[in-house]
Amino acid sequence: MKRRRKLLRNEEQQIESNEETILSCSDELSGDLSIDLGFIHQEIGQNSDVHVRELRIGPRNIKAAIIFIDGLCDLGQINNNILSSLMSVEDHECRDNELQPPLKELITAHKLSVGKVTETTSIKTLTTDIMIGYVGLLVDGMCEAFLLDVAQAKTRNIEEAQSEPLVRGPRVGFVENLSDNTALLRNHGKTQDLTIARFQVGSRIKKDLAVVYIKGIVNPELLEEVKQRIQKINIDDLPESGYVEQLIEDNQYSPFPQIQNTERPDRVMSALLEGRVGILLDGTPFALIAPVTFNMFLQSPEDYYERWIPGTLIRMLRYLATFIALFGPSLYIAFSSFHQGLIPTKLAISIASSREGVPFPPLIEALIMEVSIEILREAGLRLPKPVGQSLGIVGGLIVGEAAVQAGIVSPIMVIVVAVTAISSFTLPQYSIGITIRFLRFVVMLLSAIYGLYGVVLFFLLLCSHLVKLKSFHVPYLSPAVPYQLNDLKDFLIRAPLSMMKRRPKFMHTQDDKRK
Amino acid sequence: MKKTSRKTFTLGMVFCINAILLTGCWSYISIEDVNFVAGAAIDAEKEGKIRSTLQYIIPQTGGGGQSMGSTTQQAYINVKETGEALEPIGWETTLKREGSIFGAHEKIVVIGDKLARKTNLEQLVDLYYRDIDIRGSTLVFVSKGKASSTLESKEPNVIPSFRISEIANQQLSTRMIKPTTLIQVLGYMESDSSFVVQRLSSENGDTQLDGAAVFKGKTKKLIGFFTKKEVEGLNLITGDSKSGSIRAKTKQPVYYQIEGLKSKIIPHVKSGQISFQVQVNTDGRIAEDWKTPLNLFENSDLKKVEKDIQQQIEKSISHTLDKMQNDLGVDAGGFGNQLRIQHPRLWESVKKDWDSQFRTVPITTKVEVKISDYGMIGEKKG
Amino acid sequence: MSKQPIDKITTPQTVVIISNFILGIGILTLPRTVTEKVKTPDGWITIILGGIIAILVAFIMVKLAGRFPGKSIFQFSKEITGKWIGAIISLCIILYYMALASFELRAMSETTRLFLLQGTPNWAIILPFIWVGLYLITGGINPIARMFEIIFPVTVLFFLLVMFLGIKVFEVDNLRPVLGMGLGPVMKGLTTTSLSFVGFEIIMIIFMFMKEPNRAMKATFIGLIIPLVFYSITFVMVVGSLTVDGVVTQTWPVLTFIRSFEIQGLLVERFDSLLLVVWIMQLFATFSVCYYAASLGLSQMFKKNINGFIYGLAPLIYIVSMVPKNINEMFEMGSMIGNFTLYFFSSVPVLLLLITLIRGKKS
Repeated sequence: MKRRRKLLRNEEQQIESNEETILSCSDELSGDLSIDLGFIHQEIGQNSDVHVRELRIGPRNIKAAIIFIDGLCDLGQINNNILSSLMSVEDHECRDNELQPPLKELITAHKLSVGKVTETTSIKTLTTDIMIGYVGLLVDGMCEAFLLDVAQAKTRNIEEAQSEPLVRGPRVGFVENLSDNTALLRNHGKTQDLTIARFQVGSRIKKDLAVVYIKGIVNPELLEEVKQRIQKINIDDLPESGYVEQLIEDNQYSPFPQIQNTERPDRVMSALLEGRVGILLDGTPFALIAPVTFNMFLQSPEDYYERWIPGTLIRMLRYLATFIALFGPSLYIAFSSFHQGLIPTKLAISIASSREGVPFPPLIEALIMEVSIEILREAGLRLPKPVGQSLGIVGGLIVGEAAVQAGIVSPIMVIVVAVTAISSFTLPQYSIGITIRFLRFVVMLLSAIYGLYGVVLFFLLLCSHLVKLKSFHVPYLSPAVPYQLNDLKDFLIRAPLSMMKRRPKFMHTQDDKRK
Repeated sequence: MKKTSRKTFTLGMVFCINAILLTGCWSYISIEDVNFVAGAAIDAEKEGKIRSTLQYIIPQTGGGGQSMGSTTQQAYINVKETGEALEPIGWETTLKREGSIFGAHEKIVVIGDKLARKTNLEQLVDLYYRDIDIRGSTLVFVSKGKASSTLESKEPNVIPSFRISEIANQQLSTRMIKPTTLIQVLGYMESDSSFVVQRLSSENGDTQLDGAAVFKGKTKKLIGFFTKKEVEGLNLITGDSKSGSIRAKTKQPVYYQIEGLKSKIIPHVKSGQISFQVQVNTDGRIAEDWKTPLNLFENSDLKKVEKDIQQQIEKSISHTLDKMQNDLGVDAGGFGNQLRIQHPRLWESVKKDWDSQFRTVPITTKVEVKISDYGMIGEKKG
Repeated sequence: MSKQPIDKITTPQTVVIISNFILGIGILTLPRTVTEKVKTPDGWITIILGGIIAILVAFIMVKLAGRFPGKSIFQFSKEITGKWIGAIISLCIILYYMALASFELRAMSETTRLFLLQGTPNWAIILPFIWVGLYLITGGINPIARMFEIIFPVTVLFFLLVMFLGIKVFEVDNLRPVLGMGLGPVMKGLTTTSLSFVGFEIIMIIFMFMKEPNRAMKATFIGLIIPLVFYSITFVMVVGSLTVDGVVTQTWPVLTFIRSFEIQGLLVERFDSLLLVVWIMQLFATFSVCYYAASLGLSQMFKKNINGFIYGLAPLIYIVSMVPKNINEMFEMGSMIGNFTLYFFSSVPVLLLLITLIRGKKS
């Protein structure tokens, strides 16, 4: 061994001097177990969690070795399905010193009771695959190595989606493991048309990414566009689907999310049935849905699970809440410092009396309250849950009350801010919630300069931006504009299911009818 | 091209935002710094000057639970100033009290009778139409005596202007006229037609709606008053009333309560001769009956009362008409308007001096009264 | 934005663009301008007749544009009359749209200053408005059309709602008698009311963007009927509440009408300023179409990318909008533009159509 190492060191120096040629030469397995092991050692041997277990197959004592990463593989399977069966090759199999059947067939067909076995001749593939959890099996005298999938990723159990809880609906959320997630989807929609195309993304750290769609519904142009954009991703690592989202979205300067993320398989499934494309990334429970339209952010799966009348009413409530969350404080500023004549006399008087003695103008007052609410919310989010909750109560009630008592803010301002904050909680999607919260400050500034005119200016600007925005060539504000009468059944209202027999027009699906 | 345009766009945006932020907030005014005017009164003063009284609302400090202690505090303050016209008076006022005058919540304008008699109303209220804040729905009144005293109240926590406007808007009785708004007055004045405005009178700090003031269309000056009784007649002609009561001509009081009132002025033109018929249809109930010999269960007695009420209404109407045609000599009941609608061409020829023509126009009345109910008590038959 | 050479707009979008373009600042003064001429409460008949005239003219325009599919008036006027006359016609139209954009801007600013922001300088109101318009129209016709589809229902519904809230002060007597003085006075206001429908000539430009050009006629018709109904309702409500004599004295009769009532028990008591605020969106629509049409004309005349012209026009429009010194000069500017429209758009399309018809027969 020692001599060999020296030899290897020489080789290493050679590699350094003439890297490319040597690498391409030495990438093939030689067939000599000890040499190959040496190469592998050179590649990944510095890792303490790489385990090499040498063994002999059967009575002929063919040298072999399995290599695996500690913790990534199921040790039980290695013991039972690989080691013990390889080692116990019985006599009758090697009659006349001749392996019957040949060694390769014997191993793959008779010995390895593992579901997924692949062969490779490349050391590079071998090592990379070992690093992501495969067990490598090298047999002396064979130029092929076997890669055995006994991976046992450390996954958590399937739990309810944390970010989008529902009262009624499946209590299933995606997990971090891609194959679990695709399995969840398949479980959820048992159709052979559900297609899952795998890609590898990330130039340094390879991640599996699955593009899911329903064959026969999805618009092929859209699918092509999604695939192209994914293939264009060029970054060394994608730790979360948020990376994918940001790298393939249409307009990265827009404050609005142009791809929806969700933890819920049912949500993905229903989007797929509308002709959209889902993107799942290994290592994150957040799946992406593209293209997205603005109204999707204000819809919850529950709108469909409940009967249509409450579904519609709750949906409208949500639109109203969005409006309040966006414009609440700015309207208060506009009315209380520009257009006192527009509000009812009694309200004007009570606002005036509640503002008596408050040292700040409404804008500053609103900024103080809004910023402190945002701080509270952020703090509540970062703290452990029980602490976070009590912080919310302490912050919201006590600080607000104390601020009023101290005369820093007026009681009406506290009401406005509280209503605004509560309204913003009704948004079923966190990503759009952030956007609305951010834009709220922009309107507040504008309305402090221009009053209602500023609010209208902002509205025009917002609409101008939204009508220009597209998500994968689908206008962001579909189906509201352009008018599509059929699609409006599922916009502000949620029509009875029996009336929604067609898929959204704006998706240009292959199969228009929901059968 | 696209890149440069985005850059230009961003630059433009930055410029705009900078320019605005650096200078901004031109029209900003804090709500607690303005003086809400609840009502205004205009009186005549010596040497042709006028005296304006503005009723400011004083916001009760510390709303909610803390306002318990402030019950003794008055909710308003009347700021008085004299001057040639309303505009300089307004500026004079700002020398005395902090905060600008804010008229958007002004509910009433009271004009003193002396002033209204000698000054053209169009000139007086011109400011109210030009001012962008003051609403067209602000009510116009004329006061008996000093206008400023109608804006006083002894009760704490009551803002007299609000009280008056509420009384007028509810218009519960036939003894007050339909409230006249600034915008209506404008319409009357532009078309040179005569009109009536509610009159207010004040006694010992109590203001009440007391009759009506009649303005002549041509001069836009006050020319006379209707008493409460005459206002009732006027309301019966125009039908602009929801409820009220009429006393039957009996020894003991018997009162008819109007529940429905419909009136119609029908112009007749026969060979150039204009005449009118006033048709009044009313239904209602007996509201009070001081033990008269009437038995309301008897239809004949009921008819008797109906007939009686009918005569009373006719009498009331003719009294008012008499005052209009003979004393005041103006059309304050909208007769001309009906003529304009029915006979537009004729109207074009007579509209110039309609008020003087109106003096001699014959007017007949036709009244129908229906008593549908007499309340919870009645004498049983037999 | 999109890879297609020309964005296409749907038929409803065409309708909305036409309607939105017609409904501008004019409606706020319409009851006065009509009544000044007619002097009887019959202005609504004048409005309907004016609308019919507008529809007839629009019919000619659609016929004309229909002969040159995929081309706007800036392009086909050259084909019909030759390079130089065509260029002059295009230039006239471009200048017209520029002036109209400036007028709408200034009018918007003046009303906003009057009703909402006393003391705020004109430039502070106009600049961000131009900027937002610029941002929108750099997106091309498709985002503009989508924007209008948002603005249209919001403004129209709100306007109608406010109008009907005024039913309290409405008195049908003020509108009577109908035709009391005969048809004579009705005819006097016809010019004014036909002019109030100005804006439908945009069909000669947006025709090239239509997905279904064969439905252009229908789209124009509906696009004109909507403002017609709208104008009639407004006129009836305003004159019915303020009386003929009252309307004539009001600078902004529609806003005065809304000022004359208030609704208790709502968060907002007065609707005049609120309506104006909502109407600003409508003015924005008118403004951005003008702006876009002028830029498009320039870009088609010089065969260059439109973006450069959009940025170039912004300061020009701003300067022109600041030319009128006071509100009277502003109204003067409005009537100058109106007169131009009257003579230009009633004659040029007819002439162009005649020339094409004659030439078409020859060849």
